[in-house]
Amino acid sequence: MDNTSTLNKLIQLSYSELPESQHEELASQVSDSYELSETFAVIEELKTLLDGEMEAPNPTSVKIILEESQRSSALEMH
Amino acid sequence: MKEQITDKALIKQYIQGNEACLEMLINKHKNKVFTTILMIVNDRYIAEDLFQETFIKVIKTFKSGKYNEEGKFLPWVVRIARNLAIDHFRKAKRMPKVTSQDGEDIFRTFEISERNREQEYIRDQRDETIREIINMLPDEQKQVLVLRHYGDLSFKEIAALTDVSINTALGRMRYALNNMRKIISEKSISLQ
Repeated sequence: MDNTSTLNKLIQLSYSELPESQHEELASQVSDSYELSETFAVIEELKTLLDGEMEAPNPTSVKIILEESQRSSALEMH
Repeated sequence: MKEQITDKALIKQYIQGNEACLEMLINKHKNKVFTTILMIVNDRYIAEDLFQETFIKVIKTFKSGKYNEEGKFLPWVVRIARNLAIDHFRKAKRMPKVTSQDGEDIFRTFEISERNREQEYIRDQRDETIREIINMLPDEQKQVLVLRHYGDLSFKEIAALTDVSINTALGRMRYALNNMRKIISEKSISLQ
């Protein structure tokens, strides 16, 4: 497996997109290889940083959506 | 362990009239949907509007009986949100300019003023550093990163949506992550 292909597979592994058999095989290779495990750890670390950027909408936005749903449901009943 | 109710079950019960299920569905996915929109439009106020528009469109689809149960809920919502964001940018470009006496576009002045305030807010917030880095990425890389990580679309779905091969989508993600790593390293950013 060339480097580019390996990195692509590691990204897919990280996002749980590999078929089960490939997932298990690559996970095993990662745990057996210092280089692969280092690279995988970098991907996981970046994902953790991205997770930190998750933001919530203003509660008012959710309220508006729910009110719209109730309003349209009430209209359907009449 | 308490089993989480599935999206499919929540949608079914909502369509049958249980409004509480809509709230549960929104609360389950709101952060990912909102963050995806925010990363695309980079403006909190616009993101809030588009978030509302997205879910109002979702509700209309549910109530019309046209929702396709085969696809995953979150990627479907994210696709709606992305399309609305694209429409928003198209409309914004078509808006007529109103000029002040000295010929300046008054909305541009307002926009700059608002943007400066937003930028200041961003600079003051340590947590915005990663968002700034994401915004430094080339658009193609940023799009794949945002749609995969926040929108939960698979690389296959992203490839179909952006009309590229899956290898291209993966390549863009690879470059995005690598560029993020480089920028973080160059800026010696402490992320602890």
